[in-house]
Amino acid sequence: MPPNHFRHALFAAVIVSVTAHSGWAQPRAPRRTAGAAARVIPLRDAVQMLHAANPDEVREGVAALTRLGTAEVVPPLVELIESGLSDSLLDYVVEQLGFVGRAEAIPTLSTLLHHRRTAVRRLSVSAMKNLFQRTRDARVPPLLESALRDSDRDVRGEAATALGDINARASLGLLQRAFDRNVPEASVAIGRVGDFAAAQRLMESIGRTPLSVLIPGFEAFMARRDLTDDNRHTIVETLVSRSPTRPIKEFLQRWVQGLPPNDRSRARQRAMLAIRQIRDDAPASGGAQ
Amino acid sequence: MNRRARLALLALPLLAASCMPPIRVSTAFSSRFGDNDRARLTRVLEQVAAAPAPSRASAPLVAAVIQGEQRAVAVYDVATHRALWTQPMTASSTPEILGDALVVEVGSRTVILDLATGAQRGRVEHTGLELAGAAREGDTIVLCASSGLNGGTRRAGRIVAVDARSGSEKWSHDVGGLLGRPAARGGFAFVPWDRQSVAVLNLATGVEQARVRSTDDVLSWVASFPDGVYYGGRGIYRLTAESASGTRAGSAFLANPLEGVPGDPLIFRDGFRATTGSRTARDKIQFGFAPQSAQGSTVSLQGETVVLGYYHDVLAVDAASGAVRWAQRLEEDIESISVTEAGVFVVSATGKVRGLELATGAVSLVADLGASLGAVALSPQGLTVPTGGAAPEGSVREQLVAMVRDPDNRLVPFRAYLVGILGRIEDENVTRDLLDLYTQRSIPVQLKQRIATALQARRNGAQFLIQALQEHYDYLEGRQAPPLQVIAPTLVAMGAREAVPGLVAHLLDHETPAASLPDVISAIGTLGEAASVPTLQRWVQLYRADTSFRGEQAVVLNTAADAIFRYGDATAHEWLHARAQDSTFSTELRAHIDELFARAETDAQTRATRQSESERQEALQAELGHLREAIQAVPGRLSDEAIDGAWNAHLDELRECAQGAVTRNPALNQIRVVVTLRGDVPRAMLQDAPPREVTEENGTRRAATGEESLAWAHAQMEQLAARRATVRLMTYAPNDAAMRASWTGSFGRWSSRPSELRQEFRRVIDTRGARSSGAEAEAYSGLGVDTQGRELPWWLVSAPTLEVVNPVPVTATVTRPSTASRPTAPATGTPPATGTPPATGTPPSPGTPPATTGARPWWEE
Repeated sequence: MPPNHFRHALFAAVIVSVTAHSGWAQPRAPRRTAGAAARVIPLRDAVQMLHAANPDEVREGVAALTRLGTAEVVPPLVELIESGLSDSLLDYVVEQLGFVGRAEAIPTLSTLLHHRRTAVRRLSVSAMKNLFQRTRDARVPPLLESALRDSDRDVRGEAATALGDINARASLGLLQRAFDRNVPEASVAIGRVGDFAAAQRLMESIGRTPLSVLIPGFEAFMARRDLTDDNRHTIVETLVSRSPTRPIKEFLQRWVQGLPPNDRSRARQRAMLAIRQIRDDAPASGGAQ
Repeated sequence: MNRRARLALLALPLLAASCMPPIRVSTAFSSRFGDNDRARLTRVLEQVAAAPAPSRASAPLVAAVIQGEQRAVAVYDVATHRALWTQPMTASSTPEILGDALVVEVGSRTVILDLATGAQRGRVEHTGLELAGAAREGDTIVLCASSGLNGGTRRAGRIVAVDARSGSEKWSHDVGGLLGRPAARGGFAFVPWDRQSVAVLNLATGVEQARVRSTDDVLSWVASFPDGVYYGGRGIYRLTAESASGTRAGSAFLANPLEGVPGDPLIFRDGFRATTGSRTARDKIQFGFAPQSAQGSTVSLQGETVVLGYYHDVLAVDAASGAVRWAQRLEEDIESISVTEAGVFVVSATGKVRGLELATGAVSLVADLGASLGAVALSPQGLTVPTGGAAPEGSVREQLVAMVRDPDNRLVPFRAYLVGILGRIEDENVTRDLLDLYTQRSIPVQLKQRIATALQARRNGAQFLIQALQEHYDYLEGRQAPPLQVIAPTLVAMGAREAVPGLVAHLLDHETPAASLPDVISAIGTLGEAASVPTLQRWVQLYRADTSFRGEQAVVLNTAADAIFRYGDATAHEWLHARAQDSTFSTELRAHIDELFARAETDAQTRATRQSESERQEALQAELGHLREAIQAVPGRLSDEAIDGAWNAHLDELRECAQGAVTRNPALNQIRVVVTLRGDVPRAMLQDAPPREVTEENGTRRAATGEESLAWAHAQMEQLAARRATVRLMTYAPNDAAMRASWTGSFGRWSSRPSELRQEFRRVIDTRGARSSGAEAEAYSGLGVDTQGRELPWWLVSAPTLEVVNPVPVTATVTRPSTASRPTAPATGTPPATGTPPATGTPPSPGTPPATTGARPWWEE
């Protein structure tokens, strides 16, 4: 194995390890209530609890089913949702469905993407994302894309974030459309799934789009390992030349600090130079058109 | 008296007469003048028909008031595009071109100018009045001025005839009413008067010759056209002999095919509205038409077309049906519109004269006068429409749609009016057009409402609405949800069941506005009926405890519950009922479901009550029918047949009875029987309508219920039936109590109907034959036979009519009736007068019954 290849493979292994433990690639485990943490409730009993009049007991049953996490827990949870729930309980069940992460829940979550309450739609998007990270079910990305068309900005933002999180490269075009239609979260998603051309297109927005929206996208780009040093150098150069502002300086400072000390890349050197060049009292916004 | 004195006496009256003011005799506008006189009108029309066509200017001219700081009156030759002259003056009316003269009001006077030079020929003062208009024939110009044309309480009018060359007055009338713009033709002035009459005055003398008065319309204008005189208000009347009818139906009349145009323009310029000499909205909204020769009681127009100019829009419609022929949008507002057989000519404020082909609406520029004009009068004599003009694009439907899309907000009312016209076009594409218009963001709200109304009135083009249902909100594409609150009810009205899937998709789409959901749900229920119930149930179940539909939004779930209740079966009702008991359901929904059931129960009760009442009324009517039949069947008298029938049915008893009487009284020659029937049916029982009111115990009165009426009818029938048994029968016989009892028993229950009339019949039983011996007596069977061998009732036979066995002579125990009391035998062979009632209170015969009985006389019973 050539040295470079070895180095890349080792780095990828570290990344995989880190992401596996950070909860970034995998959904977060559900928080367990104190009472339910210790015991495992059998499926039948848990299902029985779903029919209780006491909402707390229902909630405990849902949690128990989530812990079981098998395919059998999905139908009772779906049935529970379809029976009509109070806001808080429905929100909880939708969230738990995501944690269960079974493909059997996709039809129901798909329906809930059109629930009239925004919170439910947003949680459904989140649950879909979690579910996809476990199942890689191809039905999920189109559903998340459909949520980008939602009238609610939170739902759109959640969907854009989710598409970035699941690395839906096929959704890049739609994310760029969303970005053009003022979905700020699409910036980060583009940074995660886009290629260098997408980064260049993002750079064209400097001066038209607030830096607070653009910088997270560039942060995502700069964090990518699949971009070459030249690409990153171009990004830094463009940012500095088109918007020598304080937020850009701060962004570059953060980026440089995250780099390994022995990084000798051109991008880093250009960033260091820019950090020195941009005055601390530089304007907070603005940039070339 | 000498000659001088006589001359002096003769001179005195002459002198007095010469000193007195002249006595004015009303020769026009008199209230005593006979209006609608067909003979007078016919004479006028004969002269009008014989008169040459009205003189027009020799060249196409435009007379107008130049707007701006330097106001002036100008006359342009349209052919040369040049001004003939311009005279600075503050004109306060629209100039009128009258032959070689031009008449215009300037302040409180009307000036007559030379059309060629602008030189003033004369003037007419009309202080306190406003010029309504002028007309000319020959050398006479008639001018009408009135006060109160533009409001006010004073109503006075003046008509003046002046010489067109000098302006000198020929005659005049002052009227206590409004006079409108006149017309002149055939030696007459036609003057609209008080919006009700058209007075016809001799143009030379001013004497009124005829008058048309409408009894069912408002007459606001009169005008002379080449083929005759026309007048009217909203519609067009041709002046014919039939105008003497004074009615719309009896006259040659054409109604305005476009009623309700915003601004309420008359079909011809209102003769009672003064013009202002400046630009007004009224001038921009005008109808135009050109009459052509017509026969009988019809009105015929060039191209059978009426043209409407509305600011910069021109609409041509069929004169009879109002169907739009074309709709042309011009670049500028119209100040004047004229229709001739050559086409439609309009003048804009910038002095552009345009011509439109009457058939196609193709528009061409005729002349550009290059001036800022207002109060424009066009004399289109000789004008033609250049060929190659731009016709309005597309179909009439598309032309109208383009006009509705016009962003000019001054025209919103007219655009709304056009939407109404568009909506009445049968073409199913109109449905799509209306939907497209409705979804245009630039469409004002009031126009949207009109479009929605027109759309909901459509009954075809459902496929376009269903297609629209495929559209859903999309943030990225900037797409809005379709106007479901309009589409859904329209689909219901169209009965488009195939729309249900699309509607369900919108029900399940969170982007569907909550305000539209009740319409969507109602449509799903109505169109899907029972098949839609499961979908609605699932949807209600999903949101039963959700806060999305709390408060004001509860109506959405309630509507769904309504649909489930209405179109669901018993199972669905049970499902709803169970939800009403479920405390996890939203309280609003539960309360609504309870209300649904309660209302249904009430409705059921109401229906049952109505049904019951209906049945009761039906029964009542049947009972009353029977009652009426029964009352009708109550005869005034018993027929002979009825009496015969009853009598004959008891012959055996009678025979036995007579036999007993003879046995008891061998000397008895006759038994005279008088049967009196006395019906005693009260008049109240012959009522066949139940009382409308009943009196309560506390004295209050209230309307009788159907049940009470039915009970009344029953009781009435029963009483009437019971009265059949209350016929009183009285018999008289010689003092023979046994016989009397026997007969009373026989006839006590007369089976015939009673009446209120007293009726008697008499029977005589001759017992002599019964006592005689020999074979002859035995030959009698009790019934007689007439000469033709037909059996007769026994009492019609003179001979013994009852076979009575002669008894053994009785002993002295039998009491004989006294001779005095013995009744007189009637003439044999004479049938009893069963058909004739006896005089009341007069016993028919037998005299006083024996005192030994102690009973009252039979006739008193």
